Amino acid sequence: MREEWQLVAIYTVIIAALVAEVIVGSSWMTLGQTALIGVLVIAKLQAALVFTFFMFGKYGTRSVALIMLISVSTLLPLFLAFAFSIEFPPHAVAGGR
Amino acid sequence: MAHANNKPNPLVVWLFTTNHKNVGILYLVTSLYFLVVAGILALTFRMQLSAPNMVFLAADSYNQAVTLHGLFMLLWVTTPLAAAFANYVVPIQIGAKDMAFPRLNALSYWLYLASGIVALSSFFAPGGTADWGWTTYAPLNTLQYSPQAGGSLMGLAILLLLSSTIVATSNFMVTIFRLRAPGMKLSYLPLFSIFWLVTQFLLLWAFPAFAAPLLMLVSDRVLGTVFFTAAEGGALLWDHLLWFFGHPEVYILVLPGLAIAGDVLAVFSRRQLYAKKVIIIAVSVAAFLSYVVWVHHMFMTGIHPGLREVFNITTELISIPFGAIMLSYILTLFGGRIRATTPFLFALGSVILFIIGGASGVFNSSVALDVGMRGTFWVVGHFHYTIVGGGITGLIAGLYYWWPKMTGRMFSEKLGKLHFAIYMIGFNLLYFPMHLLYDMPRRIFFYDATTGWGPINMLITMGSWIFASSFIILFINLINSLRHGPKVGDDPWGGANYSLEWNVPSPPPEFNFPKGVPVITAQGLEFRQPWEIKMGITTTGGQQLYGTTALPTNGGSHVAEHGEEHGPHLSPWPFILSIGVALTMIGLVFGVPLLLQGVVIFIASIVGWAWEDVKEKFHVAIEALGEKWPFDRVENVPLGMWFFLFGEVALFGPLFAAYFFVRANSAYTGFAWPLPGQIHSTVMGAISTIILLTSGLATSLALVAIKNNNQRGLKAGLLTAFILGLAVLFIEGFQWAELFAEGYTFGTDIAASIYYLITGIHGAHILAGLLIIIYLLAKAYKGGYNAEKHMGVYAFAIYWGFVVGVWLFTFPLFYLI
Repeated sequence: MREEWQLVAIYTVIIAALVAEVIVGSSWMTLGQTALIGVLVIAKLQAALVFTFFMFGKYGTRSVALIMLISVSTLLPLFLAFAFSIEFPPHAVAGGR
Repeated sequence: MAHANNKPNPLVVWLFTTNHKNVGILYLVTSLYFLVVAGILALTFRMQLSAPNMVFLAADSYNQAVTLHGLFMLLWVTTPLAAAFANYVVPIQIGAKDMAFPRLNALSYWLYLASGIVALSSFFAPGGTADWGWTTYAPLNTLQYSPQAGGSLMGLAILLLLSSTIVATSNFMVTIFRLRAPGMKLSYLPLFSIFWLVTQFLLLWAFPAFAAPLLMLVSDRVLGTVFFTAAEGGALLWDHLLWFFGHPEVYILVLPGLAIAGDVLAVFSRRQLYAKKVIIIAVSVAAFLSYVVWVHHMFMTGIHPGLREVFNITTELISIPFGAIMLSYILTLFGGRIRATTPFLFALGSVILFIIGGASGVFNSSVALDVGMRGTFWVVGHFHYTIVGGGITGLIAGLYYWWPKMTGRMFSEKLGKLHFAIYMIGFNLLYFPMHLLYDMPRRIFFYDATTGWGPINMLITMGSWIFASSFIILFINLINSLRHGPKVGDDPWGGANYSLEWNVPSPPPEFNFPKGVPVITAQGLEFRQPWEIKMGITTTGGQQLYGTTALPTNGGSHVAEHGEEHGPHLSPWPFILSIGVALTMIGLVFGVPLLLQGVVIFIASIVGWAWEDVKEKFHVAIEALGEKWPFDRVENVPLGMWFFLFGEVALFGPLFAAYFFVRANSAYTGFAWPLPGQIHSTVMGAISTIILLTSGLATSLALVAIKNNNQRGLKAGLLTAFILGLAVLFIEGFQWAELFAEGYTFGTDIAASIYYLITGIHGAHILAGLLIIIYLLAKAYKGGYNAEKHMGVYAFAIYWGFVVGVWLFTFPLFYLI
């Protein structure tokens, strides 16, 4: 039963994190950018717990975790390139919204 | 195939085969057919450009021919031709009896063929096919500039092809990592298998990333979303997402051909590859760098100057590993006893042409030079030298190299050498003069005599005809050899001490190794029986070293090898499923009756496939007896799921990146992004999250239950997950319906478009998960799972966890911030 209870405990933690996330997210008027960062950090923590326990990442080899990490890392340059492309003139179709 | 006393019809065998060698041959024939189609298209537009004021094709026909030529050569010819060889030889080279998932392998092929048929059928749509160029740049790809339905059909065809590739990639990954022969370390593999593995990693992250903008494009064209027409997305959104896929794609196209060139040079120099470890390190570094160079395709798009500098440097850096690979190849030849056979000549040609292409590419990496050369025929010359010169020439070397293995017959060396001579003359006459047209725009169909481009274009067109005619010699030679070529033995090239395929008969029997399981020992290659390996017996009589002693025989049948007969190596469902998918795709554009037929066939094939599985009617024992590093502890099915999900990361990642881009852009375009709670109910979103998380818990508990042989726990967990998943779908559907009723539709604004796309794709994943749960439940009720046998449940738990994980990001992005 140990494993079952462990899963229930992890589930409880994720739900608690969800409550915290909603509270932080709902306080965006007062927290501003901090709310945005806080919400994304909580989402990442929740995802890490899901990967480790619900996806049984802990039973996989380190290679699985490493390739998952590389998969996520390959996206980093894309986000950075987008970030450095934002303030430049938009390329919309004439008349399009 | 089937048993000797119940031999099926040959047509049935070819339609229903799951044997990796048959699938390889199907890939070979189909990709060569598409090569001819793409080649004919090229000849037509080269005719149009051959002289000033030429009237051979109308403007739109020219654009369609160029678009389809490019897309077919990149997506339906080069990589599938490499996949043909990979299907045929990689399992043999690693010492396996077949691929890890034979039916999925067949499915990959049939989806590939279906996608090609859908793409070609786009010609017959009203207004013709896509005419926006193979790069499919926005806004040319929008309905405003390309209103024809064939364009949408082409987008769907590419999506179908991507799904075929993703299935194949996961399969190859598991096969190469987990099914190697005992003693077969990754570094012992021939270069082709190693480079193919690297190519799979590139495919794994590049192709799903391309699916993201394609889904946006198709939804723009079919559903009316506004990704590429809105100011917040537009051309730059497409450019980044296309080239994020597009540059790794260059290496996906080139690496297999270059790998074959390396193997062929070594075998025909009678030497091992020079500095093989350096080559492996270099190709790994190049693969990594290929993800950080794509912006060099966008130097002229008005991006941040700092970004251009960074990508200028990374692009120049990537020439270093390729330089190392080329040096190793050249040094392999030194001191070798060279035999200038046809495969060798093509391999050497591939290296020379690739070096020329690489050298011309260095110019383009410089921002300053790129400003002058961008969009001219210089660029066309450059990329044809690398992709056709390096990639396809290497693949032709492979065709000649493995032809005797595949057919058991030798081709005419005289015709082969004639083919090589005409191929090289035609190639260089076709592509080299393009560098002289560094002032001619590449995207024009008409020019007048005052430009002075006429004579060079005439030379290029003559080159194209010579180049095309060389392929006629190839086909005559190969077809002739099938009937009249002299029969060959196991090792016609003397490659037995280089790779395993030259130690089995030509063509190889059904399960490849009639003399037992290949084992690589310190002394060389041995063949042992599976029971000897399982019992840890380390030596047998009749051992042989690589190519030095005659091989022992033990009867050679599959029964002798395994001590039992297996079910047929045939399944109709991959073939039928692909028909259903193709009809559905065509029906989306051509009308509801076709669409309905497609959906019915698709659903029937899914049910049939699942039923075949539940009843265990298809069973090919693909045992993992040998090397499994670095995935010793992950079984085949969960590992296949992991690889699939790594690809899914590359699908959802660019979607979230697009969200980030369009949302950040809205601050500059004046678009007011909806405030939290303004459009989407936070409470409903939170309820969906809680339900989905609970379903994730239920799935995990189901897995724990079956690990303890608790059948009731398994069924209860899966049933709970199913009900909760259905509830989430219902809530999502309810929210969509409510928003639609309020007039908030796909095309309302960019925020609506990205919301519907991400939640829609996520919903499709939930739906797929529910279908899998039905299958798992059916199998569970048949007693198909127990404490030892539950990998299907494990794989599903991984999948469902991923679906939950994606929602954990979707919820805050749309409902909270």
